[in-house]
Amino acid sequence: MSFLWIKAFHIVAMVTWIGGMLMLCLLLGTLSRAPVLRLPQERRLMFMVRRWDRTITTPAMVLTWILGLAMALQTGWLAMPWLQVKLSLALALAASHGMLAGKLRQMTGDAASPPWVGLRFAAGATMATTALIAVLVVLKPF
Amino acid sequence: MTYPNHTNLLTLRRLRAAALVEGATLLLLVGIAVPLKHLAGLPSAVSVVGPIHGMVFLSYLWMVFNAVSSQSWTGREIGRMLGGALVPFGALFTVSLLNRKLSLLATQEPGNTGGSAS
Repeated sequence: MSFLWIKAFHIVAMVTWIGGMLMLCLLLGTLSRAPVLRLPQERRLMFMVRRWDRTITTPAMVLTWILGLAMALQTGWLAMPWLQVKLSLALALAASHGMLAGKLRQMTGDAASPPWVGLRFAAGATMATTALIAVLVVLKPF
Repeated sequence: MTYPNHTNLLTLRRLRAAALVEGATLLLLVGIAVPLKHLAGLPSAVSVVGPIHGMVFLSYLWMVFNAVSSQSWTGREIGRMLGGALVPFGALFTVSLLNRKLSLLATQEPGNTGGSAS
């Protein structure tokens, strides 16, 4: 597969992954402000988002990484500092996604689970990290 | 605790499997691929095993944070889980920690008075 095709699918997968993460952040952030006992429609929404996360967002994250690594190997960029910083940021995003998915699983399974205050800042942190990654990829500053 | 223990058990069992695979690929990378590159002049081993280990490490990291956020873990335990993934044979320590947590959870299963966690 040519480099441009890999790049195109990498971007599609990345947009899907980050979009799914933002949805998780917003849902969990909103629920963290709400009373602990969940309404039936809130629980239904949590189940739907959880299913979307399992079937779309997580596979998109894996695809983003596979295609990203394929591009890095093809171009020999792995030794470049900007890519190493970008990889660290992407690892932080992956860890953050794992954390959000785990929190949603807990909140879906346990109606009385207390929300985590840090969830309120998750969307902002995700956006900031994604913006940094985009700047690094486009400018390749070092 | 109303959150089903069964789900926690499943998460920990998957994490244990991921820790073993991560430890194995790290050993392959550090013990075979890197020496092959530097001593035998065969860089292809690293270029094959490196990305595989990278993907396995990513999955492991994702699963650690997934488990940590849905269960009660201490900072020390999280540090052990992450540190164990960075050093060869560190997986043995993480697996023993997970086995302990699994045994503890298994005894909390309704109707279970103890027994195997695997």
